[in-house]
Amino acid sequence: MPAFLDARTVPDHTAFAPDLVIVGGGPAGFTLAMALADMPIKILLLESGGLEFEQNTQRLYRGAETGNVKYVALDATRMRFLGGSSNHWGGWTRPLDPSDMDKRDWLAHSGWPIAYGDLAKHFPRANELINAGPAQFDRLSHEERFGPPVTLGAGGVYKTWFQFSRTGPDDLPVAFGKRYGDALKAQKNLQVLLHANVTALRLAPNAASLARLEVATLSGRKFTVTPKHTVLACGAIENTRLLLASDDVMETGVGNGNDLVGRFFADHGIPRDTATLVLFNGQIPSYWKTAVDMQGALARAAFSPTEAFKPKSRVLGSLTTVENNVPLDDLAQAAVDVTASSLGVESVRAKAWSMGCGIELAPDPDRRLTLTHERDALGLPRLKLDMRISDEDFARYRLTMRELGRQLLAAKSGMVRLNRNTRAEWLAAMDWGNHHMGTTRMSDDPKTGVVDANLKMHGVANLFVAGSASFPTYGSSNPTMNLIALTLRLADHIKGLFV
Amino acid sequence: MSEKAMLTRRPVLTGLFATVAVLAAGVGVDLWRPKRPAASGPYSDLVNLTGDPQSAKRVGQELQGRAKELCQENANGATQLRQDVVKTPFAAVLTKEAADDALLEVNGWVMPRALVAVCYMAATGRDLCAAA
Repeated sequence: MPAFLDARTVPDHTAFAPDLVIVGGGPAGFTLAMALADMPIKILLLESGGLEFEQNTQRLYRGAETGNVKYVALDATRMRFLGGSSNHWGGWTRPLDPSDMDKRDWLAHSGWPIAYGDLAKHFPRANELINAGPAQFDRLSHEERFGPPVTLGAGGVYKTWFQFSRTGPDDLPVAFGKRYGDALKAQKNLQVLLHANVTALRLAPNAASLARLEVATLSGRKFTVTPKHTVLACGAIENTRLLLASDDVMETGVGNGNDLVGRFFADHGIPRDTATLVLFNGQIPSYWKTAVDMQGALARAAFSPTEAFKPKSRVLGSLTTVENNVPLDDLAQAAVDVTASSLGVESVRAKAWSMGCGIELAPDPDRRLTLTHERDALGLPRLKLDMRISDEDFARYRLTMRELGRQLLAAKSGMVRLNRNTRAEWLAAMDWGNHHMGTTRMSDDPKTGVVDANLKMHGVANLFVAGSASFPTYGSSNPTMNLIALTLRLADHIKGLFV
Repeated sequence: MSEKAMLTRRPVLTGLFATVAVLAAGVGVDLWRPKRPAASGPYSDLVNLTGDPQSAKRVGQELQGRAKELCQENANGATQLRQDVVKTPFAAVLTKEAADDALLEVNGWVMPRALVAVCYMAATGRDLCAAA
């Protein structure tokens, strides 16, 4: 059989019996398959799409969006062909902070069941897979060629760094299908089925294990897969749909005995023009405004709350970037002039920039995905997302920006205007990162999580979930590198199952 | 003009140009800096500490009607501030406020409390807490 097979050519009622089936050919699915390349097992990877974008396949992602904030259409926020959403990502890369995984008394539903080091040991390989250069991040440092650095007084905000999934200004971020397709084709223990849509997860009658997967193509072919182990890697939204829709044995769906599947949906809020940064000397190094080639990586600076400031001020993760230069109106000019003058510094060259950010939202069980009565071309119920963002989410981030303003004043280097005050102002500026997380959250306790620390579904012996769907909390770092690291950890666990 | 007269005038002109150049360089910043007329009124001593009374007045205009709210957040009125600036330069008072997180927002601009109070005085001719 060829390594890549079009499922539309598979005869009806064919029964595949691999050792492991991976559902989904995005970054998590690719990572897992490649990490198991040397294992003496038969792996089957099922990808709904083909090698390129196809409209009829993408339509399977349609759903409904509701809630207290506008969200991206469910068929626009992700991609359904080989490589998954790596086909449209921006390549922004940064590891989670240790505190992002902490249990915090002041933050309900927080805490990962694994230690930071369990994840961090996989960062170098994850960084390599996404071609982001040597994993330096906060070890990157200012260089004199950029002019004077931005000076901050001591406090709760510091300069951190993104790296990018590309090594040159003209590169594109790594699209897994394009970059690693040949590696998968060459992998001896792997069969990839394209245009293969899982339509049901069938539990054994006692619901303690997954017995088989039903698969269909849009052309009407149907066949089954009976694996020893299954890994769902179709993203936080589609994993939810498959689990909830597979309700023939358990009325509430697979793994949903505690009504958690689909809850705690998460994304990074990306409000625009949240604050204005003024630097009295008018000089800002270019790495604040764009990705620059430095120290072996493409890197861009951002403002982040420190690990000490987050618990002290009860704020969550945020990463604030400097965007475009903006003019100062008469009040702004007066505020800048009188502040600088009072501090004894010049402001004749002062310049201002708009700032944008990515923010973590507090875990919210009511921010959730549920099934609707509408069905797609394969007969699966479509999803509805109830998207929510609270005033507290905005207020926490605002505290961080105020702290930045304080530190600039203390250093006599600049000041900040907080541009969003009312909820209406925040909502008018909202955008989203399209980083889907949280719907099959990880916990040692089945009452508070869908999967355990090894990403195995509670109560189902042979079903795992890969990807950021399992992140209980998620900081402000973009998830791709982190979910790849978590998938590498899962790969180590799965290797142990076959020894 | 005789050659002798030329020789006598050259050092004089050179010296004159040099003097002008030195003066221009020395006061260059001030020559180009916007003129900032001094304030007058009961709190002019404090307003003039900003070095830019006109801008202070403009910022203070945004504070009209917020005296009570601002006073509650800012215990230091003119009397206290006058005592403070006897011992400590105004700039140092402000940087200490920044260090102590003693800040207020004026239309979103994050500023030291004492500066906000002085801006109010510049715009209204009244002490923040006396007005409240």
